[in-house]
Parts: sequence; structure tokens; C-alpha cells
Amino acid sequence: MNKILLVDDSKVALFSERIILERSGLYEIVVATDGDEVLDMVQAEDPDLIVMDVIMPIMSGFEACRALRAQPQTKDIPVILVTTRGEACNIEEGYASGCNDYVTKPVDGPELLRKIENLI
Amino acid sequence: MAEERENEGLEFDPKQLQLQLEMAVCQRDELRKEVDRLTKALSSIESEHERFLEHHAVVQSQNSNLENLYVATSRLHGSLKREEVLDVIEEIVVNLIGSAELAILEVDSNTRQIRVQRARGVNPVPLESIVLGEGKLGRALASGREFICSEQSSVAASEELKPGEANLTACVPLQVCGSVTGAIAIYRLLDQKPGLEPLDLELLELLGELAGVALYAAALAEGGVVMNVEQRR
Repeated sequence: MNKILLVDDSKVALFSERIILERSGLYEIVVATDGDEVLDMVQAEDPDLIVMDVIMPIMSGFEACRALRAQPQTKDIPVILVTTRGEACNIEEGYASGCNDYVTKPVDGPELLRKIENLI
Repeated sequence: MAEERENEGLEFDPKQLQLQLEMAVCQRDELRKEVDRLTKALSSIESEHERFLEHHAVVQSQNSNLENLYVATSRLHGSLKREEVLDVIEEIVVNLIGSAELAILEVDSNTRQIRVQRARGVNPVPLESIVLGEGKLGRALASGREFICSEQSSVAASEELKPGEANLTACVPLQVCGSVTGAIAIYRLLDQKPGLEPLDLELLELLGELAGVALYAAALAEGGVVMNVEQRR
């Protein structure tokens, strides 16, 4: 079973995304609540894919994504960013930080599952 | 001469040939009928497939709906700390409904003044001057009836804007035992969200019913209850 790391400072968002993924029965879920936890979690859990919010208090999703891409051990892990902002410049910034794909809030379950399936 | 020699020995029985021809025509007609039948069956299967796809989309939408309602209910009653309940209300509006501009208002049970408990992306100061019964927010707070703007522009078009009503999309009164204790005001939706959908309206209805109770329960638990619901009726 593929392991997915969910990263969001919002408990509601984490809970909602967790339900979407667990209902599919395809993934094992681990969670982190800020970007700065991501590198430690990746070392400890070795996830197959990361779904990460952009706006978080200590380290943003963009920064965490750049940090992942800078390390040889983590540079190939697929990252889907979750953003409240759908504007083109934010999406471009997401891709520039190294994300593989993005979804906008409110998260559409089938869309998220489809994008994960494409990357795993 | 050569042709005659070539045809020597060949026997043509016209009756036999006629019979074979009739059988071939009959077989052709049968095959045509079969092709027609299969074409109709294929068309019927395609229509059924379309219907199943539509049904699947409806079921998926209902699943998402139930998931969101479950998430909202579960999180709202997951804490008895007032600040955490306010966080959850805010997160539900941002993450499940799709607005990053909102205010959570409470009515002071003694003075009937509006107190702004949370303001995200909006100026809280004008909201403090809302008068119960006046304007869309004031009327929603006084009557307990939600206000939903079907088109964002219609707020401005229909009447003069009262304080805190610019870009107002919805106002959902919070109630405890039929008594209005406050409201959630939702302003501009996220860019990728064209408008409120039926699912959002169900979620707002649920918020109106549960968020007020969750805040009241948190206030009870923290020992700072200033409201007597029975007295306010």
C-alpha cells in the first residue's frame, strides 16, 4: 500500500483530506502540521507522495517543497500542493518550487485521487 | 472453341442455383436483422453507460457532501475550548466552503451589541456598528433567517450597503434553542469558486445549527457563560 504524507496546519483540512484518501482504501496516511516537520517526517516515514498546503505558519508549502527538492534523498518524491489561491502566478510559483501538481481549496475528492493516481 | 471446351463437364442446375440464391438472400436478411439488433443493443448499452456515469457522479457528489458534513460535525464537537471552536468554524468556511473572508459575530446578551469574535480578510470595525434589524446582517441576526446572496452584485444593486456588507455572500445566524446568539458572515469567495452550491448551503445550514451550540457548550465548559438561553427567548 502506498504511503501518503498529508501536511496542513488546519485540522479541518487534514481531517477532510484524510477521509477522502482513506475511503479509497488505497493509501496509508501519515500527517504533519507544518512545513518544517516535513523533512523529519519524510526521513522517518519514507512516503511515496506528499500532499501539502501552501500557507502554513512556520514554513510555507513552497519553502518545504524547495527544501525537499534540494536533498538527493527526497528530490524525487512527488508533491501535490493544496492552495486557496487559484491565480496563475501562484500556480507558477508552485511549479517553480518543484511541485508536480496542485489542487485548489475546497478540495475536490475525485480530482485529488485522480492526481495522486497519476503520480504514483 | 477453347471456351466451349473449358465449360465442358460443368453442369448448371438453374433450380439449384435459384435455391442457393434465395438461401443467400435469406441469410443476408437475417444478418442485417442481427446487425440492426446488435446496433440497437449497443445504443441501449451506451445510454445505460451514460446513465450510470451520471448516477456515479451524483453518488460521488453525495459522498463528498456527506464527508464534508461529517468533517464539520465531528470537528465542531471535537473541542470544548472556545478558541478552538472558533478556529474550527473559520477552517470549515475556508477549507470546505471556499472563502478566505469571513467574520464570526456574537450578540451580547445584555447590551444586544454585536461583538466580532473573528475577522479574516475583512475589517472588524464596521461590523461592531451593526444594528439588529437593520441591513442584511442586522436582519439576519434579529430574525434568525439566513441571508444568501445568489449573485454577489445583487447586494449592492438591491439596497444601500450597511456597515460590513460590501462583498457579503452569506450570513448564517448561530442559534441555541431557537435563540440567535451570533452569526457567521461570509464575504468574497475564493477566485476558483464561482458561487455557493447546494452542498455549501447544506453545510451552512449545519453550521447555523451546530456552531452556536458548540460555542455555547465551550462557554459552559470554560465556566464563562454569560447567556441564559431561556431568558433570551
